[in-house]
Amino acid sequence: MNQSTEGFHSLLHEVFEQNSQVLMISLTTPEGLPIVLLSREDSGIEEITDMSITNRYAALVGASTSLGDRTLSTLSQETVRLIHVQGESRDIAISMAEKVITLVITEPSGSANLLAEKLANALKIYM
Amino acid sequence: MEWFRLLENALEHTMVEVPDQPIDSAFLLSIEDDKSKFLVNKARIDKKYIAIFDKAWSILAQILTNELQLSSWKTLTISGRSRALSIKLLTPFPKIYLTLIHDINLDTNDFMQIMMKHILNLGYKTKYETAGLIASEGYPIWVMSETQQVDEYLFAISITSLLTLVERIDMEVAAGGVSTCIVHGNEDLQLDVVFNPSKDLAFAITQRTSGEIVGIDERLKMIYENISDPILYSAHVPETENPERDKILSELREEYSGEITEEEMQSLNIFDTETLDSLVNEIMSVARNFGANEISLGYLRKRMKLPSEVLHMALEYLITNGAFLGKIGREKHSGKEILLVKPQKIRTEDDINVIQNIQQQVNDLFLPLDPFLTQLPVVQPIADTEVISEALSEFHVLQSLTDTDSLFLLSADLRILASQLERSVMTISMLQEQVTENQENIAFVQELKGRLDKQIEKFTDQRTAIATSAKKLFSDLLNSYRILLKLLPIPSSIKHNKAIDKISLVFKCNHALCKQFLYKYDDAIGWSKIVYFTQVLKIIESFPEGWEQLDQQKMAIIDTIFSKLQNISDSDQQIASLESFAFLNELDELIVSNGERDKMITSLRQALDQSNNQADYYTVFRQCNNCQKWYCSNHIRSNELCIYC
Repeated sequence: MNQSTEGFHSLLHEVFEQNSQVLMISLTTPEGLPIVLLSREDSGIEEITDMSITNRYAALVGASTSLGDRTLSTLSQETVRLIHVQGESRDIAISMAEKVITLVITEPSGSANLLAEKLANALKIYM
Repeated sequence: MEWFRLLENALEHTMVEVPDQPIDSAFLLSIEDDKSKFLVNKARIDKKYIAIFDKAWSILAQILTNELQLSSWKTLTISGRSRALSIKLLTPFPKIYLTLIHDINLDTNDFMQIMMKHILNLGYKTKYETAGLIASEGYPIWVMSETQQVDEYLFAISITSLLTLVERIDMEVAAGGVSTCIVHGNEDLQLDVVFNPSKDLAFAITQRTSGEIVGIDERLKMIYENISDPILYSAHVPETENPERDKILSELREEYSGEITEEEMQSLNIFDTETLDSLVNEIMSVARNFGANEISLGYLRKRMKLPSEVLHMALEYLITNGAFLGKIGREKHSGKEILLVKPQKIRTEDDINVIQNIQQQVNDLFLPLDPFLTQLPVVQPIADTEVISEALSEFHVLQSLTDTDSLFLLSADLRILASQLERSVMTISMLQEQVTENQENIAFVQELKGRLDKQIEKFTDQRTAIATSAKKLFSDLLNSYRILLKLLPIPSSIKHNKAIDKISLVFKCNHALCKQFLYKYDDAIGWSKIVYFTQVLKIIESFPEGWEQLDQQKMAIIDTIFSKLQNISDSDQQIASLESFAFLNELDELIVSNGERDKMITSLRQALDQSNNQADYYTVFRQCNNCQKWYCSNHIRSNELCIYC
């Protein structure tokens, strides 16, 4: 693990520790490759390394981004910056930055959108 | 009766705003149950229309409930020779209808837009750019904008993409049913979509600045929940319970008596035709949007909020009655119950015949209304009947020859076929991997190879179906455009002014020295499609300058689409590639919708009328029968050939 990777790993852990409502954070490259996936489990915060799971979330992020782009570009030629979906049991936000796409899943009404945007900004220094 | 006063107020404002619209009478009514009783705004209804309305309502109730077995409807229009009666569901207010008796040439959608604007402004202060009410599959029920004319079709595409996004996130993350989705653009656009509790309606607003999200629930709470019960008028429609639901319930009670709990039996009260319809819609929607032929029963149970026994019974009932092809099975590894959905057959000739028969019956049922309409003094012809009939026949010919609804359906079918093929390719690839991994187990490999052969056979059939459909679409699109181009002059140049987001169209006579032209600004989506299409196919061999200014990216997409459509059966390798189907998503961008076509004709006529002393545009521009180019009347001869041919 190099210095940069260590840096954003500790940042993600900090986000988990300071925000008890956060359940999962996934970072993906704009090309759709998974970077890291952290999940809150019974045993604590775990990094998921099972490729079938990391790929599944990367695929979800990729599909959501392209569907969001299609939605907005049809209306006004804009590309998507943030998607925020509020469900009864989960709050989900996907934030697009130049070099990383951040997916944050929280408990309901967990302000996933604010966390995703803040995280995307904070991660810029590592990317 | 606050809700009714507010609506009446909106109606008053609307009538004031459109004083020149040929509307005889407009009134509001509230349907108290499915079909039999309604509340009429008596202040505006003229007694002479009661008989017409009564008759129309009786026929409507019979057709919709008994003949067509439709559980809900939005619009009924009955046209006489010069007057029409329109009844429209006044969304988003369920069970409240706006009724108009009007000139048959009136576009009631315009009236509705103005009406909805007033309703939205009642008691609410919010800044929005576009607002729309969306049905569960993404189709807009109504769309309106404060700043510009909204293209319903584009809005539908946009919202359908968003609903697919929401559906996928909900499935993958188990969000538990999505109530709100907000998408922020990279500039300042924000799209807010709020779903109602039963998830069958969504209220969408686009705004440029952060503002209050206006939820549909809030509106309905204020207005709809205040509906009290005075019934002022009853139509002569026999009271019926719900025979369909009663039949289903009694069959189920007989079959499952003793096998389910009393509590679950109680929940059968919600097991009506509406629930069955929404269950079928849900299944078809998942199958279509995700190309899925296996749907978890757990997912369906959560989506439909039904007890598992009731869901089982509903699915068995629907499968037995042929609502869709499929069966209930178990997932191989987890053992969880799944619904296996077979690909739905495309409409057969028999289906089409049945539909035509029903349409004929409906037409016959409406016939008795004509005498009613002609007996009234107000329905006497108000203009020269020959002029009206000529205008109508021209319009109807245009509508029938350039109707593109079937093209959109064909395009949607192609996308479904493509997603099925993608799935086959993935299955083949997976089976091939399993064969490689299990080579030492000969018996298992034999079984895998058998499955592989069947899958490859399925793949071949799907590939042929795609090639056939794509060729048909290409041919129909070509025919549709050829007719359209005989009715509309082709712009000699088109420029997009990004600063004001407008397209400038220039129509010039094709004679080199002629200066006859019309110059016009429009938000011309339809014109852009025509221009792209003609450029790609080179129907007209050469145009004057200006083409190179077209959006290069769009031109590249269209080039790709048509080269792939034309070569689709010749390149098996390309077919097998998953990426090769991305182009199908762009197909709809080439089809001029019926609304766009009508808008082009209307706006061009208006512009030409203003700039040419009210002359009809066919007298200003005519198409040469030989070279197909358009010329002004000075440069085309009486035999409809230009001076060059």
